[in-house]
Amino acid sequence: MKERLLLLAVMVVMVSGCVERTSMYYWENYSNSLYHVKKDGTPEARLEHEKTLLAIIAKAEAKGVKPPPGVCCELGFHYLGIGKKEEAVKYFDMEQTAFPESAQLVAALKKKALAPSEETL
Amino acid sequence: MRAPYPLLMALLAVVLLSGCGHKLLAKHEAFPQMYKEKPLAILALPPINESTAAEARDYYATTIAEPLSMCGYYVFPLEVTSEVLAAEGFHDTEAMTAIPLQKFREHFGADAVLYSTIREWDTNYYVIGGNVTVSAEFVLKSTDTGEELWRYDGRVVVDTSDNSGGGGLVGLGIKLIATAIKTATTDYVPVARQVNGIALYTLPYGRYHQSHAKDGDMVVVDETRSRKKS
Repeated sequence: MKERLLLLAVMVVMVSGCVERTSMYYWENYSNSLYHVKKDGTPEARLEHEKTLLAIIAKAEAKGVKPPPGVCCELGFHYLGIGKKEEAVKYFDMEQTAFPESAQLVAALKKKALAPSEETL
Repeated sequence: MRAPYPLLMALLAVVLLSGCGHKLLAKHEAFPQMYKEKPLAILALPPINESTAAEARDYYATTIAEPLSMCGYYVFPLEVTSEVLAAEGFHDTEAMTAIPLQKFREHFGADAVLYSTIREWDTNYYVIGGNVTVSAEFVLKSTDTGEELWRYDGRVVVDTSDNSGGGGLVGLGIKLIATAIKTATTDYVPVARQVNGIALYTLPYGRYHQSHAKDGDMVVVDETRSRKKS
């Protein structure tokens, strides 16, 4: 019986690998949504992707876990690109709070967001 | 009488583990530097695309962050890092791979950089089904020591047959057409997901994963896929 359980455990681990752990982050529809941005490149696809990123962050809050790495930063970058600088800074800060190792990138992005000129990236 | 499952499962496990008689290594044997340096923040570059599928590069880049994060790593958002690098004059991955590793530490705070190459992304359509063959190489390098931390080199065949069709001749006709269409336009996302899943399986877990530093003895690494081909 013991061996059977052990084998079962081995099988489950092998089949699931490290990508199937759902409790850590909730990525929702991220890859598909970004795929459509790449494929279609339309403003609609970008708006859809913005909604996806917001939904990912909302889901994380509802579940009481961190938003996935990079998601807040990417959303902030999107807002920076369309001139919504306050929103941009808000999400950049959120990234750094969740993941302190993003500090250096966030600092550089915030510098751009807070620069008085209209210069974008 | 005991059910035959334990034997069957043991057999299956052996087959899965052993592959075609290649030597298997534990994670810490295959990637000792990984356990020494314990990188946390990974910057993934868009893949170099050597395949005939021109779009593979961009599409593939959309799928790598999710499984890497699930392995316990911080992953810089590719959409952002690619734009930042492009603004610095590095538009294609070939140019990005020439950037000295320590620059990624200086400018982004990255502990390691993930380089990937898609060698093959071939779509095959045949009478009763279809598949996509992907071969890819992943190399993770330290921005601290410049050393290679992890590598996977492999080939994956993803079945893209449409299994949703009904029975009968009409059903078969519909199924054939469906497979043709599906394989021709096969979405990159599910294919890329499967390739990632298999490749990242040998990656030691990162600091945000509960098995971090505890998975060194897992014997899962096929030696031929974790060493540079000479």
